[in-house]
Amino acid sequence: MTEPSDENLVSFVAASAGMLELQLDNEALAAVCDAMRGVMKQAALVLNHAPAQAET
Amino acid sequence: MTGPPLQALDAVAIAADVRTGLRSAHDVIEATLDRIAMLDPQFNCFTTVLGERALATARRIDARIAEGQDVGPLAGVPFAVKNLFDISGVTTLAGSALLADAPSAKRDAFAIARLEAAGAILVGALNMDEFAYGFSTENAHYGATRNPHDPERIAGGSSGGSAAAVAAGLVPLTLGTDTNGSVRVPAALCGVFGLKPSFARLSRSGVYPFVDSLDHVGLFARSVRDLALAYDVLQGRDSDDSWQADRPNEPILPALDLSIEGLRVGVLGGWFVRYAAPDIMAAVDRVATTLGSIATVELAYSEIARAAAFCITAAEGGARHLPMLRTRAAEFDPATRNRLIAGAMLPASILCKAYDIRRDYARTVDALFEEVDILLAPATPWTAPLLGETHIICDGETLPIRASLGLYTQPISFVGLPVVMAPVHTVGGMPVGVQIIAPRWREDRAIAIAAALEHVGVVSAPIAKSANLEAAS
Repeated sequence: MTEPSDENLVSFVAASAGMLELQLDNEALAAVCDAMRGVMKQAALVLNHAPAQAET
Repeated sequence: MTGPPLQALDAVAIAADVRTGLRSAHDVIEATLDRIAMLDPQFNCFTTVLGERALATARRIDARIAEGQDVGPLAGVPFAVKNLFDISGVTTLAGSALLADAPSAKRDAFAIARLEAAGAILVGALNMDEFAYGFSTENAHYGATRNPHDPERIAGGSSGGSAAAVAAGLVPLTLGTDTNGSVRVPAALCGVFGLKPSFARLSRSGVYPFVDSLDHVGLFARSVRDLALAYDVLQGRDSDDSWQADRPNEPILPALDLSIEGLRVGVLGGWFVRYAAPDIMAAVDRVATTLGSIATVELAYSEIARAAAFCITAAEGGARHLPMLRTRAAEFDPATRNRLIAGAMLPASILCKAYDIRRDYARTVDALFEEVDILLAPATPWTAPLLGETHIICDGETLPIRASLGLYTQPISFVGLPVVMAPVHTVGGMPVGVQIIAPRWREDRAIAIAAALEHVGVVSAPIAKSANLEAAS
């Protein structure tokens, strides 16, 4: 997994907010995108880890 | 009475005085309430002080002692709890303004009831990061808790009030919770002993949840024997807690006198030394050398384990708070709100992978414990940062302080290992914390090591100088 581009990230957060029924104005959207960058950095480490390696 | 001031005594010594009539429980509580009134405005540890309740409990204990009854091993010992523990008649804040108008709790949390049944006396509730999601206790609603060793610095979190109250000598014993390091980080930064037991060991009934699959109840004290005694009192099966493991009580007080001769001690390298400041490594070396260990061992994939713990925390925490995020988002601390929302959006595929990594990492840990009996690691990469400080430059990388304080604690709690957080004090410096990590269910082994280190003076938890007011005794 590669970290998403800014454009993709903003689209993802906006779409997710809609599905989760969260009200985000532009300022809130930008703040959540900032937080999401931090989460996705860790998520990339998780997704890129090969399970077989963990069992060695 | 003459003798040492109350704050110089640990819980075991206070209980001995009360049980033998050298001090009354009422005198202990009056002196404790006076000291809190005098010193807490400097540190902001308490969000609620329960003067009337504490004095009434003390009177009952004194009456029972006068009748010749055994009131328990913690007779008259004042204690306080992180404000996410339910206290009968008090609103459980969990560090948030969102809950300030919630109904008060109908009964005490299981852990409070256990301590009071052993004679201890609850005196108040303590400050924390909002919903336990943080490592600094710079609470947007209830203010920052200041580090008693340097009030310009953070106390750590999320159980910051619990650690600072013990470091300031306001109470000898406090309860907190640890999801990713929230007992060990503040214990390290405030220079007090902390115990995070094995996951699922102690009941969490009546404790406001954060992350179901990672939350632990833990405790803080200024001596190892206090940790052991209080932990033994806290053990016990609670049918209301479906997460609690079905295990018998396994007392650890006897471990205080065990020889540690022959125990194989390994010092964690790799991830657990990356970013560590020189004073942190010096403290770990001092502890390791005292134990006769120079063996560095590697715990593979600890960075991945930390990342997985980070994702699980964000996702489970976000899901829990989603209803309030939909309707009352503006009332959250912004830093908490944005991370919770991001967590709620995390795809399930990532969460499932994170759970898989936890299972595999637990196997890796089990394999390492075939080679050693105890592991040592720093609790934090640095000593307490300044209040308001947000980033630190380390090895050419700019790291966010709040998140990075848990770099070394997160992999350990991720697989539920028991840890004693042992404080090392240096002349003129801030305290440093060393994690003494045992295999799951072997709290006794970590306590035995901590007791041996305390016995030779390598680890200790003196009251902070800024709180050492004889006038308050």
